[in-house]
This record gives sequence, structure tokens and C-alpha cells, in this order.
Amino acid sequence: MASTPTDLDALVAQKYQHGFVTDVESDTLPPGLDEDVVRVISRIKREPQFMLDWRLRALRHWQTMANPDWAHLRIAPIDYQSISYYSAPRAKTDGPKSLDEVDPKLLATYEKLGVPLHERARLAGVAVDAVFDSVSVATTFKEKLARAGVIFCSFSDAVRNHPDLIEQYLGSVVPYADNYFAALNSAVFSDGSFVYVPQGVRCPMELSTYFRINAANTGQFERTLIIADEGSHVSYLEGCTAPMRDENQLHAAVVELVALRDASIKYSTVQNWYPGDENGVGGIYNFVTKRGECRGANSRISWTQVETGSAITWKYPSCVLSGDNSVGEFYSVALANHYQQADTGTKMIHIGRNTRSTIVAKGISAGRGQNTYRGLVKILPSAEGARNFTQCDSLLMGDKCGAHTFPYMEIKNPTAVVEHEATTSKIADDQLFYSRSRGVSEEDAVNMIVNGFCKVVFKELPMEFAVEAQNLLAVSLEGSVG
Amino acid sequence: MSAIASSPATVHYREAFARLQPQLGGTASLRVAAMQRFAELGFPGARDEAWKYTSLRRLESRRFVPAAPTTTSVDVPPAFVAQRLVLANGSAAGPVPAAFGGFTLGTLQTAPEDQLLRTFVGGGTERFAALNAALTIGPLLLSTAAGQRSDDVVQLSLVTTGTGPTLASPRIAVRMAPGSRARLLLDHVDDGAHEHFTNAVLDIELGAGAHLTLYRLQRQGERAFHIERIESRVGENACFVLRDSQLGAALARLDTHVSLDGRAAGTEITGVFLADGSRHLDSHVLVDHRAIETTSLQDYRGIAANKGRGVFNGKAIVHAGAQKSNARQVNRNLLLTPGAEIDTKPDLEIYADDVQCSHGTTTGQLDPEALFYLRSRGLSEPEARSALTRAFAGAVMARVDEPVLARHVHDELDRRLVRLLEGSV
Repeated sequence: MASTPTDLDALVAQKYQHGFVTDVESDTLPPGLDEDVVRVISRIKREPQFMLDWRLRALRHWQTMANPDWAHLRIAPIDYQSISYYSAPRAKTDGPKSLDEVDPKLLATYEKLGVPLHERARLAGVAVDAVFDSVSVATTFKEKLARAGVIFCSFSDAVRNHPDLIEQYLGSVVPYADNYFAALNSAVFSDGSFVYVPQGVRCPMELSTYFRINAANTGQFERTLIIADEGSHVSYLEGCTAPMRDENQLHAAVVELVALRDASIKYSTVQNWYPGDENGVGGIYNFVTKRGECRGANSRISWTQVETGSAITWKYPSCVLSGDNSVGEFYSVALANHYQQADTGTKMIHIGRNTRSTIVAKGISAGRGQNTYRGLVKILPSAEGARNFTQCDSLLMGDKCGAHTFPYMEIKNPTAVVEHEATTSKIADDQLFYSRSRGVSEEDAVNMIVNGFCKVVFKELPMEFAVEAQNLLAVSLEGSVG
Repeated sequence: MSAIASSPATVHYREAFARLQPQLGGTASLRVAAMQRFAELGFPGARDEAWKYTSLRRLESRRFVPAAPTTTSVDVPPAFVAQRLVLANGSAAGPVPAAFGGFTLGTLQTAPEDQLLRTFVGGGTERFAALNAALTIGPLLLSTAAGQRSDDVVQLSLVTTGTGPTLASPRIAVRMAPGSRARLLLDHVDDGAHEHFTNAVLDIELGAGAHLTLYRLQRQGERAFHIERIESRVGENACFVLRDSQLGAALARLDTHVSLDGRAAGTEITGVFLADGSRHLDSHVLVDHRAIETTSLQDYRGIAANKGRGVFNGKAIVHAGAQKSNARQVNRNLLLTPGAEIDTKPDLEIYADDVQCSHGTTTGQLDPEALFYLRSRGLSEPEARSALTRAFAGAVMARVDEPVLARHVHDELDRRLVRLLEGSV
């Protein structure tokens, strides 16, 4: 059933489509991390004192911590002192006032990535807070959002313009001492996005940010904070690509979501950072802490992720279900091809009464990829009537890859109902044979079957993301079967 | 890890070992190396993943006296089957017969030492298997002849007893020759007089085409600490079956490791546990699929009530090359009352693609509709609850095909469930 070797070689040799480096002058700090670096970052950002104090506490805590080794990942040691912790595109004046003022080279970057900022933004009705390396360069649709009272801006702007909100919510879901990478991020994060949706407002458009890693040797430390006030609703999209490079790059982001009473947040991610080449050289190290808290009653947080990129993915978007009747959801497709390693999953912490959570995780392993689902469902004694359903399925393509499942379930309330099921299988020969006999090529048949396998997750994605996700999977998997 | 952990507990056992060593028999260097290994590993800390849900702080704080060989007779509950051998603190009360119930028996005097005092690398209980190898006083080797098939059940009653808190280290090695078949019943009891610590090891090897069914009943007293490791290697076309009933002790941990080494080797591990009172029962199962066409089934049913806590950690690893393997894990749990806790973790690690692996686990309460139905038919609330709970365990108990044992476990579950449910309703 193998494709011909020539096909396979050609397909496997397919280069990362989004690999290029934009030649923009950058202000970059020399490699290394100490208190002075943190002070410089804070000063460049013109942050108030409380931010600097918080960053320094985080750094001091980080210095006492050890790199975690519990994940099912093989990671070469990371030298945190050889990384530059700040890089900004050179400011010409005080930053662009409109798209016209944005460096044309930056705009060209987005063009190449298929994100014609103004076009796409207008056509799709999406506001894009584009992050290039570490500083926001352009934000659109601010006015329309402002009319609705929605604050959608870069984290730096939020720190300057809404310090009260930042002080109240920053670190309230992911404290700086949460874990090694969260502590590192808290100390050195350079920028990110901030969203505040006021009481009773349904955000008039889907919010979107593209993160991109560009300047060489620059770790990217984004921080996102989304607050949905009582009765509000927001859908946030995040997608990323990164230029091709041989040296491993570190990314340690933190995302915090807060949903107050009756609020709902939908957070969707398509992640296709450079995964390294077919020999496992290069690629992004992606260590992300994402957590949302359903703080108020009847609130809802839904995570959807399609993880096809990065050499290493370490990511567990989680929900703390504090409010009564709150709902947490996690839908994930993770793909590991070539030498990619993914250790991803979620945590659902049930605290409030009648809290419900759903976990659907689909893992696809190909080549020598290692894909791990790691999840925790914790029902505390207070979570009367809590309910969880977890399904995690793995699809294996080839006999060199691996698919692993580590689900933790801790149940401390007798009224809870927790169900977990998982399967591991390969694409069945009879399915392929049937497709072939109906005139469908093997590649198409595999794509079709994989898309069917992932469908339950894709249908949770906003339309344009769903299309992109399907294409990504197809490209990432071509030539993997045989 | 080269530094020797010198917690007061490890120091205590090293000193006790030094005093006891002249009476232990076997090559001193083997014993010393095992003790050294235990001291190196020490007791597990709070951050030890294999002990995430089971704290041994209480066990570590006690100073059990390792049992010395004794000839005094002990009281044991009646036997389930005709052929029964009683081992007190791991050693036979009288002279060990050369053959028993179809098995040839070997001791340190008559059997190769490397078969009797093996240590096992890895797993959360490596430390305790090493401690057992250092301190065991009457390790017993049970072996079959090639092609020898017996359907009779042979019972081994392992009694932990002593005039003070005692550490018993029973150790049984089973060697099944190719094509042989046997059934073994392991019954763990204690004298209930003191807070004892039983640290047991079963070391099992199945030759090609061999078949062993092991029934295990752990019904030690309310104060007992029990740690056990079952290590089993299964050859081509051979099958290892474990029927476990984990009912007793204050704190019990069972690690079952099955390595399916030969083509088409299989294993079936089923068990039931009842964590009532303030019992803490922890069952770890690890199945290594190392050859093609190997199959495994794990099915554990757990019941927790009062302040009881049940832990299940199942794991199947399908190694590279073990194609056409089939691994199935099922774990169902019932939480009967507030205050009880279930922690479950069914893991899969798959490194081959042409495999079928699945796991399913559920934790919940009795179905309110089923309860309502039984109540509408005139059953009292405790009766209805007890019937449903027994039915829940029954799915696994039905596989216990030794009738006297099965009835005993049923009755015991019944007795405790009724007491429990009448108390709670």
C-alpha cells in the first residue's frame, strides 16, 4: 500500500512553507537573564512600579526553580543565559498611527504568510492585533470595538492605560510561581494582548492575534489576558507561524482567561510554528501555560487547539471551574510528524456545584513523532453534581512513532460522574482499500480519514480557522502513510 | 543515585538487617547488595510520581521488627481448598515437603539462589522488592514439570504474626515449565494483634505455552500495612491470569508487572477492591507488550466509602515491534459516601502502529434510576444499594472460578456493604 518512493521522498522533503526571515532592524538586548535585564524590559515598556516589582518577584522565584522533567519529552538542555530576552522592531518615531505608517517590510511578511492585514481584516471582519517579535505594530478595528466598550490592545498599552485592571487580574489565574515557564514568562514577557469585554457586551467581532517569531536567538514571551465581565461573550483566535531557522528557539507564553458570572470565552488556536526539518534539526520549543478560570456562576470557557507545529509542544490549556454551573471545554488536535514531540492536554478543576467539563483530544503521530495526551480531571469535595466526559483518541501512521495517554482522575465527591475513554489505532487497511477501489488516491483517502478523525474538533473552530486547520493537516501529513 | 538516603527508617532496617543476617541463609553478598539498594532508594517522597496518591509517611514513621525464623504454630482461617500450605512471616511452619499439589518445592537449601532472591529494576516498589530480598526468611520456589497440567487449586496462606509490630517478607517464586498448567491461591492474613507490615514478592516465569491462574485475596487486619510486588514474565503462547481481591489492611499497595516476552503471550488481570473505613488501597498494573500478537486485559472495579481511598494506575506499554498487539484496560469505580476518594490513571504508551489499544474508566455513584426501580419493587434503600454494589463488583467477580473463594469474597463484600449502607442511610 506504499506510495512510490519518489512520491514519498518528494513529499517528505517538502519544506516548511512559511519559512523566511524578514530583514528588519531590531533593538535586541544582549543574551542573558538577570535582574538588570528585567529592569531594562520594564523601563523600555515604561511600566508602573507594581509591574517591575511583580516581574522581579517572578524572576527571583524562577531562579529557585528547576527545569521540569516530568513530561514525556526528550529535550536537549536549554541554556537560558544564551537567549536574548527582548527584541523590538526599531521605532521610527513613536510607533505607527495607522497601517500606512507600518514598516512595509513587516506588511510584506504578513502578505507572505497569507495575512494581508488590511484586506483580510476588512473582508473577514476580524480585528488583528499583530505581534511582530515582541511589540505590537498595528491594531485594527479599534474604533468599532471601542464603541462596544471592548478594550482590545497590546499588553503594554493595557499596562499604561488600564493599570487598575492589570493589577487586579494579572497573575490571578496563572500566578508567577505556577511553574518554571510561567515564572520565566512573568519575569521577562515583552508584550501580548489584552482584552476586556464589559458587562453584558457580546464582542461584535472575533478577535485575532498573530504571533510570530522573527529575530534570531530571540525567545518569545507573550502574555495574554482576557477578562469577560458579567454576561459578556468573546471569541478569540490565535494563529502562529515562524520563520525557518536551524537553532532551537524557545517560546514560553502565558494566557490567562477570566470569565465572570454568565460570561463566556472561546479561545481558538492554530499553531504551526516551524517544527524542525525531517531530521529533527531546529524547530520551536513551545512551553505554554494557558489557564482560564470560570470565576462566576454559569460561566463558560472553551479551548480549541490545532497543534501541528513546533519541535516540542508542552501545553495544557486548563479550566478552573469555580463558579456553580460553570462549563469547561477542551477540543484538541495535535499532530507530531518527523521528530516532533508533543505533550499536551488539559486540566479541569471542578470546584463549584454542577460544574461540567468535556475533553476531546485527538492525537496523530507519524514519522518518528511522539504524541502524548496528559490530562487531569479533579473533582473537589465541594463540586456536588460535577460531570466530566473525556475522550482521547490516537491515530498512528508508521511503526516508528508513538502515541501515549496519561489521564489523571481525582474524584473526591460521590455525586460526581467522570468518564474517560481512549483508543489507539492506525488507519485501517480496509478503509484505504475501499477508498482506492472507489478511485480515491491514497493521499486523498488518508486526508479524508484524518479529517474525519478530527472533525469533532474542527467543527468547534471558527470558519476560517477550520479551513486553515484542514489544509495544515493535509500538508503536514502528506507522504506519512505507506 | 549514589548518595545513600539515611532517613531514620532506612537506618533502622539496615541495623535490623545486620542483626538478623546470621540467621537469614543464602549468600551474604546478595543480601547485602539488596539491602544497599533499598537504602539507596529509601522511602518514596511526596514528589515521587509512582507514589503520587499514596503517602508512606505513616509506614515510614513505624519501626517494624523484621521477622526471624520461627517454629511456633500460628492460627489461620480455614482453607478454601484441599491443598494448603501455611507460611508464617514467609517461612513454612514445619519442614518443607519436596512436592506439593503438583508443584516441586525448593528452598534456599535446595534451589538455586538466583531464582529465589532476585531483585527487580524499576517501578515504585523496586525499593521494597529489594528490602524483601534482603530480609526474606523462607523464600519458596514452586515449579512445574513440562507439560504437567493440574486443575486443582493450591492455596498458600501467608500469615503475618508477631509479638510486636513485625515486618514479614514472604517471597514466592513460581517457574512454570513449557506447556504446564496450574492454579494457585494466595491468601494474605495476619494475627490482628499488632500493626504489622507485610512486604511480599511474587516472582513468576511462564515457559512457552504455560498457563497460570493466580487468585489473590488480601484480607489482613484493620491496622496492617501491606506492600506487594508481583513480577511476571510470560513466554510464547503462555498466559498469566490474576484474580485479585483487595479487601483488607489499613494501607495496601499492589504492583503487578507483567512482561509479555514471547509471541502471542497473554495476560488477564482483574480485580476488585473495597476501600471502606479509612482504608487506603492502591493497585498499580503495568503490562509490557514486548512481542508481536500479545494481548492484555486489565479490569479493576473499585469501591470507596467513608474515609476510604482507592487508587488505580494501569499502564500498558506496547514496545516498538510488538505489532498486532491488543491492550485493553477497564477501570470502574463507585464512590458510595462523601469523604471517600478515587484516584485513577489508566496510561497507554504505544510505540507500534498496527495495534488495538483502548482504555475506559468511569467513576460515579449508583444509578438513581436503578435504585428507584429496586425500591419500587419493595427493597429497602440499603438492600437496593447493596444489591447494585454487589452487581457492580459481580462483573469482575464472575471471573473468579474458584467457587469457595468467590463465595467468601461475595459474603465479605456483602457483610461490609450492608454495615456500611445501613450506617449511612
